[in-house]
Amino acid sequence: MTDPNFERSLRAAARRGRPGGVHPDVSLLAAYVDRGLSDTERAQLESHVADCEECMERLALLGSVNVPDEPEVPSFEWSPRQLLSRWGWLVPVATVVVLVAVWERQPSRRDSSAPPSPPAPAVQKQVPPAAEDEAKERSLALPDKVQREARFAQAPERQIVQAPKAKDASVRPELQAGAREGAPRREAPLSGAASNDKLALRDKKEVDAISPPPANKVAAKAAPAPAPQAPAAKPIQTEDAASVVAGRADEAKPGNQPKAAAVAPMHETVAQGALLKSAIEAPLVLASGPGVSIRRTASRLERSTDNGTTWSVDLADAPAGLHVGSCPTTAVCWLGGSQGIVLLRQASGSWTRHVVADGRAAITAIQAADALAATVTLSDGRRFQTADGGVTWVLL
Amino acid sequence: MIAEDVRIEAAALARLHETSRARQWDVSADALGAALRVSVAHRFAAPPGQQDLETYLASLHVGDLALATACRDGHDGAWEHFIRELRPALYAAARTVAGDDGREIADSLYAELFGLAAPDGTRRSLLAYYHGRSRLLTWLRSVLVQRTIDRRRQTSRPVPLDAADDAPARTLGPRTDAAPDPDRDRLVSCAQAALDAAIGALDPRDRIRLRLYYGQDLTLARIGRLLGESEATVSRRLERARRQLRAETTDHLKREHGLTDAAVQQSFEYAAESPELQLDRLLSGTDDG
Repeated sequence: MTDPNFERSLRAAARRGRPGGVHPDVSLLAAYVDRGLSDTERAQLESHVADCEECMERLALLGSVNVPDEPEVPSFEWSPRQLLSRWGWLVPVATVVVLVAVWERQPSRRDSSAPPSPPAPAVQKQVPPAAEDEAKERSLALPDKVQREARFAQAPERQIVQAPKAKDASVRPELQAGAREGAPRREAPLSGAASNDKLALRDKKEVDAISPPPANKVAAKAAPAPAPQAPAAKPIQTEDAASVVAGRADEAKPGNQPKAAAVAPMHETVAQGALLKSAIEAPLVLASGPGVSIRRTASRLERSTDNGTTWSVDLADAPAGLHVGSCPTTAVCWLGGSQGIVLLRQASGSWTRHVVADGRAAITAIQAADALAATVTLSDGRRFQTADGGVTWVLL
Repeated sequence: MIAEDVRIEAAALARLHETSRARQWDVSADALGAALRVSVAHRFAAPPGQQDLETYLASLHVGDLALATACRDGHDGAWEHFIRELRPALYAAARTVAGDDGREIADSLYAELFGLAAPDGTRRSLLAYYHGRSRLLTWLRSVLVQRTIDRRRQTSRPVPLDAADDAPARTLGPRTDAAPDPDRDRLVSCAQAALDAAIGALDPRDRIRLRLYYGQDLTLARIGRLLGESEATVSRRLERARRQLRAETTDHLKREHGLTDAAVQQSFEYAAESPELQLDRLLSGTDDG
């Protein structure tokens, strides 16, 4: 039962803070929001912020502007409904492509020197300016007949290449930076001694820089922002988007177009299916650690110890839905996924499977210290800890 | 610890240099290494062990650190990228936190990010204080928030007490018609002290949730985003904390002050109406924690 008077008293009390204390610097607060602190640092910061009016205000403001850059934790159980909702847009696009291709390949059309055939609106909409530019360049270089065929052949492929880019547009800088996948969820499990876990204080220099005195501020204002001119709507070319569907980017290269276009329309549809399948099976790096990375490709887990140059199959039949992980050492790796599934790679190279809690919630984050100790966060907010290699889990 | 004390193995540095794609901004391994050493020195009070160092380095947003390093060094391509990808978000955040003043704050901040010319002709960019522990955008927002709060404090003028005296008395519900309760101040003081003590006894994370929700009026979704919890979890834990506070406060008032149920209820009512007493307690330096 809600007591309005108590609620109002509580509201007033919640606004009261204890002034004073040493505030964490902006870097630390930002790292807190991005889950970049060690457990010790996080506890120290929370202990201060919980009672500090100014820091609470800073945190609240940061919360109001830190729009979600990371998508909801996806469920990677590939049910037909999810497949349809995620890739269903390909169906009408592929249909249009096939119909237009059939129409275009009619003898009367083939011999005609009439203006280019009407483009398929759905296809044209999906192609970003960069792709259009490339298509124009190709059209100058290719013979007319090849041009027409290439135009239809390239569109769906480019859509597939571009699709992850559109989805991940908001996190693209992170990906472009080459950081590990799932970076926003990372919580570095620093095991340093507490004495070495300094709560970074705003030293004089940094305070002056981050919060300069008014005189500096005036100087800052007086100095005109020497803004370099932004390029005019220059399309962003990222290798990352293409790398998400690694191995298929080369199919969109100009040299491959005539070959792809030479197959019959029905075969094109089959090719679309193959592309769709390969897009779904695109490698996803689940975890990285000291000198090691683990990725999922289709149902396989692959491991690289040479910074991603070469990958070897480490587990041929991994459960679906794995999407987070932590490699505390080169040999040991913990992976988590939907339905509370946790996979542990032992130092011996063998994998064991465990289920956390009731197996209904997905693992959204996992921090491991070694082959025995790990902490997982579930999609419902609960956190569990194990100290025996995932055999038993304790609710935190 | 100073940056010069930090030792990063050449192989690890080469790997980070590769994964950060620093080359696209013409950031050399040495330059990235220097930024990493500063970051490590900022994080650790004493030289960390090898494992701690590796874990820390692996946790850094090295791509953003490389970008910041390149911007700091005046790389045109890096600045183009910054302007295209980060500055719009910075302006949007400034509008959110500072309204009409946001653009001015963001422009001022942007100038400092680009670097203010020192008397000796060198440029000192604010980006030198980015250590890669968060995404660059989050760090920028954090700096922006700090600047906004600093600005508010500089521009807010204290309200003279005379003006407050001239203001019409607030109407406080039904009790304005009743005779003043001689015990009112005591009940308010007891309720607030009990409530503060109960809040102080909560787990820090519970306190943060509580203060963000009740004190800062943040939505459950935003609190969840800040704390890495789902909206339902935030709601559930808030409700649990609220029940706990209610029970402990009531128990404290009965046990320590001998209040009856009716008096407890009355004390909450008075406390809800009497924010002015908080100022009294603040001025007297009372610490109820």
